[in-house]
Amino acid sequence: MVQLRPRVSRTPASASAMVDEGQPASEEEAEHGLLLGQPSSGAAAEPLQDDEEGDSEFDEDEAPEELTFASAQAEAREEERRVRETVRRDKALLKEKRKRREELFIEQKKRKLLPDTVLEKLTTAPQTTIKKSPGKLKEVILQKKNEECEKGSDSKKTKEKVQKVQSVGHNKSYLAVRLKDQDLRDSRQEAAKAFIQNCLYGPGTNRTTVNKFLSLDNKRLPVKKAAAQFLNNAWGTQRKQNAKRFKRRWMVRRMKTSKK
Amino acid sequence: MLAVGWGWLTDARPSPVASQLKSFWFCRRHQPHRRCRSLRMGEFKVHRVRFFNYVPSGIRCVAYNNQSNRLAVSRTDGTVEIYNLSANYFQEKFFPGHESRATEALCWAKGQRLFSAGLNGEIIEYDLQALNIKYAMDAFGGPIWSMAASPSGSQLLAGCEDGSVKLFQITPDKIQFERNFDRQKSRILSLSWRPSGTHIAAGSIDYISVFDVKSGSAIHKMLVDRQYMGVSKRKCIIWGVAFLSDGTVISVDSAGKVQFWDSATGTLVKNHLVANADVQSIAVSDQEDSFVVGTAEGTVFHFQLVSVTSNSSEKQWVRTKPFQHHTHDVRAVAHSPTALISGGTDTHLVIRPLMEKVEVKNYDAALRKITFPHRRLISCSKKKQLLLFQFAHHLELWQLGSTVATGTVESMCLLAVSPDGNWLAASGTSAGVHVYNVKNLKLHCTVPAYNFPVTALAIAPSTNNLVIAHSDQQVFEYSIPDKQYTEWSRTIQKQGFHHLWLQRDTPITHISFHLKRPMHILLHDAYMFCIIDKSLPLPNDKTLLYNPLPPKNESDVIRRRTAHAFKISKIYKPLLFMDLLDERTLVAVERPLDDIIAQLPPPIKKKKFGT
Repeated sequence: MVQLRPRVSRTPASASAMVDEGQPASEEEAEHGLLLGQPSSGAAAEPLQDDEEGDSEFDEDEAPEELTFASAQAEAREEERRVRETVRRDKALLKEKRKRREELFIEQKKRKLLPDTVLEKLTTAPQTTIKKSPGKLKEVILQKKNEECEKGSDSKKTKEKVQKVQSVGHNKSYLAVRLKDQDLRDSRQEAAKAFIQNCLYGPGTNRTTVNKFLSLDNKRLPVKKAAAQFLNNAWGTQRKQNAKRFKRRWMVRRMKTSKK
Repeated sequence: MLAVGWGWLTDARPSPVASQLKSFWFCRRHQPHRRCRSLRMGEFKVHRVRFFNYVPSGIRCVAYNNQSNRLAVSRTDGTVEIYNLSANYFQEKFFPGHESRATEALCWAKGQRLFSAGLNGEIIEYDLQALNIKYAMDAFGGPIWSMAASPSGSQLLAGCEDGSVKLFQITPDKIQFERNFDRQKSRILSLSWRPSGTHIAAGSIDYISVFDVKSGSAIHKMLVDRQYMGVSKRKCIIWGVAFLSDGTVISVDSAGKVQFWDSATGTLVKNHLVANADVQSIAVSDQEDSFVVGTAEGTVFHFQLVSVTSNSSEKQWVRTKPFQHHTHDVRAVAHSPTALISGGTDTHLVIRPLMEKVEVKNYDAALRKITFPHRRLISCSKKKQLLLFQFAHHLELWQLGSTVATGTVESMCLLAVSPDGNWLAASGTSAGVHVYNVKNLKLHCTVPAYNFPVTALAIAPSTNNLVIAHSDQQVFEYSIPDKQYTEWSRTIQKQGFHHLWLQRDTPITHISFHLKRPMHILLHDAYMFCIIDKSLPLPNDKTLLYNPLPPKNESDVIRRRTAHAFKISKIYKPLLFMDLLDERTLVAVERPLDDIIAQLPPPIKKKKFGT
């Protein structure tokens, strides 16, 4: 018969052991342990070893510690309150931070704007067509900071009229053009051109060079001829430049040594 | 023999006016050349100039107008040209272009009005009488990719970048926005009206939509298969659609397919795979029994509706003829009642009359290829030995010496000034050539009107005879002081020109005279130059027009018998310009076709066996 190693008797650990002597590393751990009913420490959780020392601390005959439900509940509530507090504090801090940033931005924006007086004049001026000076219109580009600017640019059906404003100085006449329109139009046009370029000459199209195209006939003649553009003069430009420089320097050196 | 570095470089003093004029040394290649003896004009030194870097821009759109038999052609640099097909295919009107007005679509509307639309989002109407742009109207849809006029001619449809199809009403003096149709997801690249005006087919990317005009809603959305050479990665772009009156929609796409759809059910009926590259354009004839498509490989295919068997009434579309007249993409095609017209990136305009439609099979039924401009782009100043080259955006002045002359822009109306400065002849879009007396600034006389437009004008130095060349190769000589046609002119009109002379393709673009020999007229077109000697007898139809070089040992008698007034030489071609500089010197500006092709965008690769 095989002699088995005597196992450590798994006596039901004392209640205190269950609860854990002293304060646990974190309250959460204790809570967690309580909820799951698992011993976070104690005899059952310890590895198989001689724990005579553990034994000596507890008296196995002692009754487990009394732990009322109320106290446990109180502790749990405390725990929750603390957590809530921290969350609230964090939120408040974030809010503060955001508020401060907003104010900073407004401040900066205000600094960039034109002085209020000019803006007032512009907005109150009647939106009528100006009297065109015979034949010519001077275009002055103004950037308007009103809300009206932003709303019109997205909808496609609005006809963005060029806003003709009466002159601030009464003898000049000018035309105010929104820069945003022009940028939008240009970018769309560029996108369209890029699209068609990609369709016709982009990757995936079966294009060849003009040189190869013109040389096809030469290749099929009974007496084969060279390609239409046989030499590639753009080959190795860097190398040729380096060679030229080197040659110059070498000549200079040669002159120097020959003079000596 | 090449003489390089002939002349000297002038110190370039940029003057305010001449910011675009450059001074170079004259003539990189000075080739003294002896003219052939058969011309009997003596020997001349010829400056052969080949450095005029003229590259025409590719043709983008073509629109045919049935009522007036005119063709509107727009190029990639924004130029629009109007050709009069009944006047021997002469380019009669020309609107210089600008890159910002590059057109993507061109169409004729009721009342001979021409509209174009481009990537700058504007619809432009051209004034054909005043030869300028009437107005440009922004369509507010982003870049416009396609435009089509309704069969009635009173409405205009524009397909935009944002996927919207906009309907415009054509009013007597402008166009007015009416409404938008249902907006689609991707850009509308091609449009076609049903001849009854009730439906519209719009080709986009990967699908075709059919709209009902009254409600503006999309009835069908037909998805196109992407497959291209076995791969389905690239998006299928519908380059052209055509709507027939029986409800069939024909579409051509970038996968090389020509597909027939039924618009009532929204289903595919027939599929033709015609090319390995994009099929980029389609045009249907008015009778709807034939249509033509152009591919990116330069091939043009003709499809016809033929009956299945010889006596059955059932018909089907069959691909009948392929034409390979282009080397690069064929981006525009048109179908006139008797001919197929195609144009593309290789800048040629090819008009191919269809043999079965042409009644009289004469020279008119041959292929016409218009490559070189019908206007004179080069001017020469004889005393100062200057050559002025006219490009699209700048002028190049090649000269000796340091004087800077201001450039003149050539207008559509031809002008000619007499060398002694007394007379000015002008021909415009109206009929007749007007001659003005410069001294009193009054109209002196008017040469009677002729139905073919004038291609070249010049006034002779001593006799003050006005020589006029028309697009049907007729040449008239009119005496200004006497206010009537000269004797010689009447004789030649009575006899008529040689038939080979009349069958020349290209119009005469320049006429000039010899200072010491008043009986000589020098004129040229793109493929020949000719000196007319008025003292010699005129050739009739039986004599040889183009005199070959006679052998030296031939007797004088024979030579005298075969000599006639028209001395033609085809040595220098293709000729853009030729003129007499002084007694013994000629200048000839040539533009070899290969030089033009070398500067065109890349063509489609063609795999040939053995390469």
